[in-house]
Amino acid sequence: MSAPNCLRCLGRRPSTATTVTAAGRCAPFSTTAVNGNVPMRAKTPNPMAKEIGFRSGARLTIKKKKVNHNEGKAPAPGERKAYRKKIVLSNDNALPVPWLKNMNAEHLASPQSAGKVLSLPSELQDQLRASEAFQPSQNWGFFRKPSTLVRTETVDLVTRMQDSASEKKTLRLVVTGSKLVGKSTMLLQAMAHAYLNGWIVIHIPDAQELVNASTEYGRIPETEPTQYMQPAYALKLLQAIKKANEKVLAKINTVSSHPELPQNIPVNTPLLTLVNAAKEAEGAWPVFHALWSELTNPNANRPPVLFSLDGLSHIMKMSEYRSPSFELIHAHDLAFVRLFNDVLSGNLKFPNGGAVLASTSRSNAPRSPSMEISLAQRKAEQAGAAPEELPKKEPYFKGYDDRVEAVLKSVEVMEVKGLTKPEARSIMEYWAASGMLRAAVDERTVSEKWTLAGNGVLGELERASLLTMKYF
Amino acid sequence: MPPRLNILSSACKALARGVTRPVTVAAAPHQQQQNAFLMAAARRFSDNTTSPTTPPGQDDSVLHPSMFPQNQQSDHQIALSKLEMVAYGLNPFDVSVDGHKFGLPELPIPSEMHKSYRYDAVVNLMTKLLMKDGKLAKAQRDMTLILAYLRKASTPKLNPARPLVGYAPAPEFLPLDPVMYLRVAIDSVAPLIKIRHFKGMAGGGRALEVPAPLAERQRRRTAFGWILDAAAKKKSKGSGRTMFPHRVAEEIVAVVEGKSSVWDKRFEVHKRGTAVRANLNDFRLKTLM
Amino acid sequence: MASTANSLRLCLRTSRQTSSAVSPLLRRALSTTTARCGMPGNTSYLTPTGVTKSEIPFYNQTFQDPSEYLQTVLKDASASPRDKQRAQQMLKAWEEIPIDQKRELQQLTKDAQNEMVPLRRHMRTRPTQFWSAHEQDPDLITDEIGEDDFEEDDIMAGAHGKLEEHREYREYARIAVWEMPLLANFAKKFEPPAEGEVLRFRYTSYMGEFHPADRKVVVEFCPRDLDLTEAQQLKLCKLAGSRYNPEKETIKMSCERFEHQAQNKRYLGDLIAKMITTAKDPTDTFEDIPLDTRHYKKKKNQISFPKEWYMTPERKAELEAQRKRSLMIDTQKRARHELVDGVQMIEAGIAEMEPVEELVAVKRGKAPAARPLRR
Repeated sequence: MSAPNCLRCLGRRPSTATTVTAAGRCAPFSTTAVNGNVPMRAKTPNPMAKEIGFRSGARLTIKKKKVNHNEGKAPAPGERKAYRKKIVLSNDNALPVPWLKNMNAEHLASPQSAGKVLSLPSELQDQLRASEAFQPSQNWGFFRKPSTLVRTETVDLVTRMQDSASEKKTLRLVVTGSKLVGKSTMLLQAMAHAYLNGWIVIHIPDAQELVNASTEYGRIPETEPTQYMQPAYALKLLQAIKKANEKVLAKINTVSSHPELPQNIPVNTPLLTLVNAAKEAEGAWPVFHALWSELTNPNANRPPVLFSLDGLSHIMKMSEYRSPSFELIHAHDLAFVRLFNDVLSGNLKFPNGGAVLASTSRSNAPRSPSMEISLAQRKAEQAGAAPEELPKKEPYFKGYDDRVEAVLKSVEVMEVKGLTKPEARSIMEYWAASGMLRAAVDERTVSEKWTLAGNGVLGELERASLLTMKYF
Repeated sequence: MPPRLNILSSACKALARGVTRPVTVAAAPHQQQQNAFLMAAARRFSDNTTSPTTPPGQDDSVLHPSMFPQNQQSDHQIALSKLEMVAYGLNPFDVSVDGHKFGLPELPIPSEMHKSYRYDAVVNLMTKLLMKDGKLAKAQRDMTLILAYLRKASTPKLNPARPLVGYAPAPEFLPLDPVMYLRVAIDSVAPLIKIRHFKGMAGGGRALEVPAPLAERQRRRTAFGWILDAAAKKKSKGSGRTMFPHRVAEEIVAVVEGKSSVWDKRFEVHKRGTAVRANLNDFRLKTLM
Repeated sequence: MASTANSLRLCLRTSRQTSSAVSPLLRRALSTTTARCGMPGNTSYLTPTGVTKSEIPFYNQTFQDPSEYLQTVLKDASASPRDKQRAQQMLKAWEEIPIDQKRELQQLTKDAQNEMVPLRRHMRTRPTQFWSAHEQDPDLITDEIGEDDFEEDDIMAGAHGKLEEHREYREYARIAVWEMPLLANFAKKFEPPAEGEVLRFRYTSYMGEFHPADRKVVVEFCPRDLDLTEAQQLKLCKLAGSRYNPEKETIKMSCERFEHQAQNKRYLGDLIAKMITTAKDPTDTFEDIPLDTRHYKKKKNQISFPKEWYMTPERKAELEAQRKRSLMIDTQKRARHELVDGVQMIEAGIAEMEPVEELVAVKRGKAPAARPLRR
């Protein structure tokens, strides 16, 4: 329809204005801007430009709503972690259990106390707390007094400890078992026995802290292969040892002088003084080393030593630390781990007997195939399997570690299993008497909870009866 | 498709019948009787768990005496079974119980026995209100931690100015019954009414405020909503997944102790409701009704 | 244009009427039929019987336009004088047509021919085709002419389809009822393999159809069934490599290298024989190489309950005894008041606690003066 008009337009003569401006300077159908030969104008500052910018008129400005993030004081550094790691050992609401007895030195080793619940005396509580034997994930805070169930496994373990101490041997044992079954509690009971019987206890509560590159480290000179010390951890451990073993350490004296220490520690100084010599992280490792040499000195009369560690698989792999050539350091090259492994493998013995206990962890544990296979082999050996019947390594798997296998070559393995029903009944009666289980503890209830807890896994039993939404 | 399937299946049925028919015809009538008897015997057998299970013998003609259910129990066993009934809280001489292993169920079946009503009504409602993004298991774990916190929290010191609900037990009793603790806290601050707003009915574009009563569930829901709001405004003391339930639990303790701001909210609602109660008789509302 | 075409048609019609008994094999412009006679040396395709190649006029010739044809007629000695005369007339008429119209006609003929070439090409069915790809779909509605016209004398096409469907169901139902029972006649009793029958072969048949996989033969056997020592068995497993299944302890091999099933089976048989001889060879027992089972992944979610969980009469009796024992324990404990009841313990514990005076809300300030009662 518009064609005639358009044709007419084309027919019309172009206006002069366009010919003058466009014809000479730009191509007929170009979309490029004309930018040549425009007479330059002197730059005169526009008085308006300053105030309203290039485009005049009102502009939309969106103000950001101010969010007040810090209402109140933020927790100080470390406060949150302290709250998370806080361990509460008593609950005033819980009813006192009339039949509850305090644990004494003989209780844990006697078969009569198997299946009974015993409470920890307050001094022992402090000792265990100092060595971080309690864990925040355990449910100590439900009851008036921290108490533990003495299991047949406990009696077995403690008896073995006692025997090895009396024979001046070193018990080397690894506690294994499925998740939440009570491996750490088993360590705690062993430590309780040791404290009650005047042993010296060195406990590494979480092996992860040794290897995850969270504490400072440094080379120990004149060691081949190079070993690494962890001074900050050494200080922490020394303080824990001091706090937990104060009475015992005050009684025993040094048998050799320690010239390598800056402080003058003459012979016949109480070990407590030696431990006190470590005030800062800097000199902590030599002090620990001196203490260790005192404890393992074959000529001295020392009480038995318990060296325990939780989370074995952490130290059975490469650590997160780096060597000067930026290669990962094997965990066994760290001095602490090395000491532990020396005892665990049997290369080093406590002269007056003792025990070295390690427990595996199932909740936060890296896989260590060598450790798994070694422990399985040891277990099979203990069960009386012939050498050819032992679990075999995967022939084509490359992740095995010979150093780990060398350490675990001759350890004993104790597998913690679920509670038996009488044991479950015993602990549930304790819960009910504390007012934390609102039910009659008869065989039916026990059986129900025991089954719900995967055949008596203690942690699951707690979940089924204490940490539940259903209170009958 | 369905017709095809139907026809095919009926055809197959017909086929099956065609195959089986000669067999049934061939079977002798007396054998059939025997078979039925055998089957009945076997069934009765499997119902009775105490007697030993031996499979029916190959010889159809003679039944082994051991295959019959044993009717003669020893006196000792009877006594034990009666004892068992006592243990399960049943009357040993109840006619309806006798002959049932666990007795007849109580009818109508109590709500706790139903899988959807396993938990106390308040706990159940609160758990659902705690839930975010449909993660019920997480909400249940949080509720578990709340209840655990309530058991461990020290005995609440009651504020006489903020009286708890009538059925509240002594404060010493509360931590030992955390569900009761929760229920008391919630029912104590639950508002009796809400204010309904009728848009523009008060004249001049203002809304007409009218108090309206709430049902029990609505009251609890409102109260727990307030508690959750107050807990959200609190600051965590630590870190980790237990912090949220801990804040909620702290707020619940604060409610029982009369320190919580939720009490003010309740008071405000009630005050407002009292002030506008005259609006219930408003003529403009009557035109609405 | 139209007049030209008409005239041409008329011309041709006359020529057809007058042509000799043997029609010339002139390629028609709009034909889809294959021009078979055009192929040199292909005498068997001659349509009229008894006529040889030399006898057919214009054999092996294609004409571009009528004039060409007419001129050949004129030159042909065998043509009758009457024919020639007609041809002369037609040629004259042709020449009277303007040149551009002629050219147009020629172009048209050429185009049409070009288009017809692919249609005329002979469709050959290959004898060995994959499954039944060459078969036509009988359900396909074919000739699309007048399809949508409805004459009011029939049911609709959809209904026809439905009927057809029902016929199909009935056909299969008839087969199911009448023919399938006859399959029972072919049933054979299962006989477990005998002692010597170690190899288990699997063949594939596609019911007479050709298929590339029907030549495949699979053999499976257990090394333990062979007459070998332990070490030899192990060597055989190592030789088999990834064909060894460590869970079932079998070796499974297949062959489809050769064209026929029998050849493949023969090959497998020979191979197994060779493997067994190698396994028996004591020079190298492969002791230094561990058995590689990395190729085998155990299936997940294989639920296997422990043997102890199976309900046996002994187990039942044991459980029964256990229940009775636990019942006795409870009864005795109840009688001796030793049974711990959580609720009772709590109540007792609360009762032991020192009673705390109940707090009462009191308003601050003076107590209100007692008002006299109004009567």
